[in-house]
Amino acid sequence: MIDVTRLTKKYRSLFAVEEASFHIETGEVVGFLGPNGAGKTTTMKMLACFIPPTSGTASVSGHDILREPLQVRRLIGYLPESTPLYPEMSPRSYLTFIGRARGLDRATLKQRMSYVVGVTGLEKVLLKEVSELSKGFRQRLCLAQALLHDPPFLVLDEPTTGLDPLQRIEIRDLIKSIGSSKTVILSTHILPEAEATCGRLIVIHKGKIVADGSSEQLVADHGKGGHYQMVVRADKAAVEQVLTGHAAVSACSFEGKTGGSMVKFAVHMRAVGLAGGEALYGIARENGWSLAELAYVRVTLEDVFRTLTGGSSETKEAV
Amino acid sequence: MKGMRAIYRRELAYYFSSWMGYIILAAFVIFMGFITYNAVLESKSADMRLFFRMIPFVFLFFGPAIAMRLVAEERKLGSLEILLTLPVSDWEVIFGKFLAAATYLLVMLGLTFPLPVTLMFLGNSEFGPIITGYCGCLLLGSAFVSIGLLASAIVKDQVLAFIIGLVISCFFLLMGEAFINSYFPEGIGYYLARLSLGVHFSSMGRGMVDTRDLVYFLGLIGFFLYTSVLALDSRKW
Repeated sequence: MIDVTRLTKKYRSLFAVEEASFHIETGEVVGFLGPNGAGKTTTMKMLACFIPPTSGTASVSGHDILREPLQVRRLIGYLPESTPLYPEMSPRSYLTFIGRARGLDRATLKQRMSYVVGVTGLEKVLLKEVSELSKGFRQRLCLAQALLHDPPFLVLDEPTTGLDPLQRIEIRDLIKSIGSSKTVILSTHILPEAEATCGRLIVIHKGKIVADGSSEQLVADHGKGGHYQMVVRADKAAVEQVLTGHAAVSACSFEGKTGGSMVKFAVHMRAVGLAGGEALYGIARENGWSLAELAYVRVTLEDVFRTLTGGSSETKEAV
Repeated sequence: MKGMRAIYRRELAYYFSSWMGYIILAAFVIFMGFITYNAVLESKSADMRLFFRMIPFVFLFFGPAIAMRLVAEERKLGSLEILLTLPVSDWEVIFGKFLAAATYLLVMLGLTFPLPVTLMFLGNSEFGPIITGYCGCLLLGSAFVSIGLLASAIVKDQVLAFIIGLVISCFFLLMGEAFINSYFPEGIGYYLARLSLGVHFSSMGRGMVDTRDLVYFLGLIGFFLYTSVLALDSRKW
């Protein structure tokens, strides 16, 4: 398990990470979400013992990152964001180097190497120079490097960048299958991917943790419910008057005219789910509006993310 | 220790992975061979004196050149991030890299060994002093490498690392010389001479073994390796 206590990283006067605290149980797959520059990478670098925190600390399986960094590094497989490899080496010689530096004996190294090369699909390029490899293969080699010593903890900073959609799915499945036996922390700004891979999401914004929970939980806690989209054949002003005055309705807005004399409204009900829909249908029937369409518009993780992070455009683009 | 060995092997393999590594070796051997034989032909005495007189100035360039990429390149590539998240201490990283560069120097020196062997057949040079001289060369070169390593750990740019290494090495080599000492008051000049690489090497180059020289070289190398570890540690901004 990973315990993070008031972890803070300050660069001059700027907080990259401010008082982050969370606890991750063994076997969880946790996604760090946040716009670029939110502090995801800094948090991961501190967990991997590459940079020390300004204050606060973290422990991995009971080993403190400041007092026992070598123990922590032994337990963690770390994939940095920028895939920094040695260009003159071949994937095979690189993985051999990493395995030796991690103290694997020859037989273990051989066995682990054939495993990681298999799961990351590196067979074809094993003897090529890294400088000749595409971004996708470099990313896979970096991932292979992180998996090589069979670590119980994986810290993966944007594991799927630079991959094509098919490879992305492969890596996603790989992380899922690994996740059943290991604790995984990964960062991404691709929301559907985070939803598909991670059982738990931690949203970071401006160095602070703004939300923590499963995607369903986040939607329920921060989504302020969904709203109903209603299309009726009636007079706009009359509909508006009835809806704004009705006790069951918390807010409504006119969205435009459709199909001749139809009007479209977005209605927020005090009751959510089926009860809200039923009440709205009741209102339409009472007032004699002929109801053409009534749909419940769910809040998506994307909406939640946008509210939590103040609508960062970068992340919206990435989605 | 395993981490250090892995780093040592990788770095050593790097020196022999490109043509550049071999070209440097060849250039060194040809140059040293040329000046030694030339001196022998001119002075008609078969000895290695000029070889040992020249080598500090050759190593002055080769030492920082061999060391310049050791840390600077890792910083530039970003590969330091993987290296320093391996279960390897900063000491192991620096020491592994240093030993690899020192081994490369040993290979360079080893390739010039046919010189003293032929000269022994031609003249009446003694074997002992030559071995002492070679040990002195290795220590001197290693000292330059440790200085270059510090420079490499400070800056990201290899060329800048080379220049900084060269300047510091140059200072340590020449600070006992009269023309530098004349700028300082008498007392200081005396101490500068005692700390000078050139002065300590010259007695070994003449074949004399003095424990003080050995202690000096090892101390100097240790000092620069220690400061390199500190410099590497400074990533903890």
